[in-house]
Amino acid sequence: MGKQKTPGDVKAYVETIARRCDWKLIDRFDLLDTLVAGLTENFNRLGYYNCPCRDSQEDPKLDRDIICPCVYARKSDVEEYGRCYCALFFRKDFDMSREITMIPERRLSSRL
Amino acid sequence: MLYLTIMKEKNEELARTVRKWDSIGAFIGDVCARFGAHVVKVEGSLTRSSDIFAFTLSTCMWCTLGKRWLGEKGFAYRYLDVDMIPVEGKNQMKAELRELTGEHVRFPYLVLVDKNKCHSGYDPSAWEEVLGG
Repeated sequence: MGKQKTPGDVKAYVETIARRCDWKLIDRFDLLDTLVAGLTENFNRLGYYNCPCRDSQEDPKLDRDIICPCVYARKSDVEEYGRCYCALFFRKDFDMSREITMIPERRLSSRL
Repeated sequence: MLYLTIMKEKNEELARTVRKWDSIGAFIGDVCARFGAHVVKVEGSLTRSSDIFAFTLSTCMWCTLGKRWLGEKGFAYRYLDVDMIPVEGKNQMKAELRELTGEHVRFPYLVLVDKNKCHSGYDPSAWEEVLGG
């Protein structure tokens, strides 16, 4: 087992991702804390940042498309829907006063 | 492409073990028999309510919101955090659920056991409709 991450470490990680991708983070602190806690739990259990809102195969090769930031966020979701599947990352111009709902799942249904 | 090959092999192996269920109730009964230690029962204030079972992830924000919504509405329900059970049993369970409902399983996955209804994902207005109907 590698070094364990704290929620502070993971928050710094997602802040870095947001900055590098020119995104912003969810602005509701309670929900941000929930997402950071989920990512922290996944990292410490699996050894990688599995998406907290998608089920893992506990194998980074099989989960590589859903390692945060997931391939679907980077390729399409943030641009098209203004947010990622988890609603952790948002497009800079997204109107945060709008109700945030789940977006469709792009991951193939044949994936385990 | 190696991971696609592994995934294909896993799916083929899984297809050989998937059982077909006649009803969602029988399936949920089997889930409770196999993973009962992980099934959590939450009491509700409503006197009349459907038999609600939710497949959830312990790390998922939408699942947290869904559990909170059910609690605030006073529904009694059971839930299973599927990330807490071993991968092989979990994959078989998810494949059987997909076979039974024809739906892609995403979380939270809400099941109304006594009404043979399901809803994939958290959507308060859809949940209201499913639970109220």
